[in-house]
Amino acid sequence: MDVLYNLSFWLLAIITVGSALMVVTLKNLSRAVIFLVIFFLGVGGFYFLMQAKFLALIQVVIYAGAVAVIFAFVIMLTPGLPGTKIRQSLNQGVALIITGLFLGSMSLLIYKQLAGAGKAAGIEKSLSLKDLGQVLFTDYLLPFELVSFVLLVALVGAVLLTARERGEGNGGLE
Amino acid sequence: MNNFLVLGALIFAIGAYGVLTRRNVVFIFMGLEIMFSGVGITLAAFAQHIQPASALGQIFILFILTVAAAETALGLAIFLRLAKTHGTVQADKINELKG
Repeated sequence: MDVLYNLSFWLLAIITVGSALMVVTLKNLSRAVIFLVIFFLGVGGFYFLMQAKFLALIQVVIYAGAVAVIFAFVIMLTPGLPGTKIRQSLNQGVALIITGLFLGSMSLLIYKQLAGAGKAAGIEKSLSLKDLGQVLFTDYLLPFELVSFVLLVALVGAVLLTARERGEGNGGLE
Repeated sequence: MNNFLVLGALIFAIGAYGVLTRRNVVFIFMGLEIMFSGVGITLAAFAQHIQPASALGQIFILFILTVAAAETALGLAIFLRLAKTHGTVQADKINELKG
């Protein structure tokens, strides 16, 4: 069981990090979206490994499904965007230094401070969906409602921003 | 657990690199999504390690996922609007607030 766990961890790590690197380095937007979907599926696999089954499901449905479709739609709706080669920024060295510093300090911190803080998280009892819902709808009811309000605002805002203005050429639908 | 934490940091760093180097706004949003995923992995690792019986960590990630999805939808709507009014998709060419 432990071998299987480690094997799936490293396999998922290779898939996820590889596709994330492809997303940030590819020049073609349409291919980057495909790699973004693979990345989201890999992250869903990590949630599954960490005994968060509901989160894995949500990750696949919302991210690999909905968010990727939004990206695809936006790329298709913008004229001249699909399939074109897009220039990268020039200051890649600076960005590499910043992110390298961040990653180095974080890894050092994790391995020094949390050394021996626990075995590689083994198979433990996972939370059921019932426990999750019970906590969410009793202790965290107010944040839940606030988040639903945020979603409503995002919905109305997106419609407002992308809707045609009155009198601004209504596509011949008079 | 350490492996998961380092992996979360690595994914966050890759996303940050994408946000810093890209010029196209859609690519910047993809980098942001990758950064959110890195944070989610870190949070899930801590939640499973520190209090496996508590649903708190998973609820936090749930809220982060929801807000991130709303942010992406709204940001891409703004991007569509910008592409229509400015005729450019490069972040460094958009330098005025009033369209």
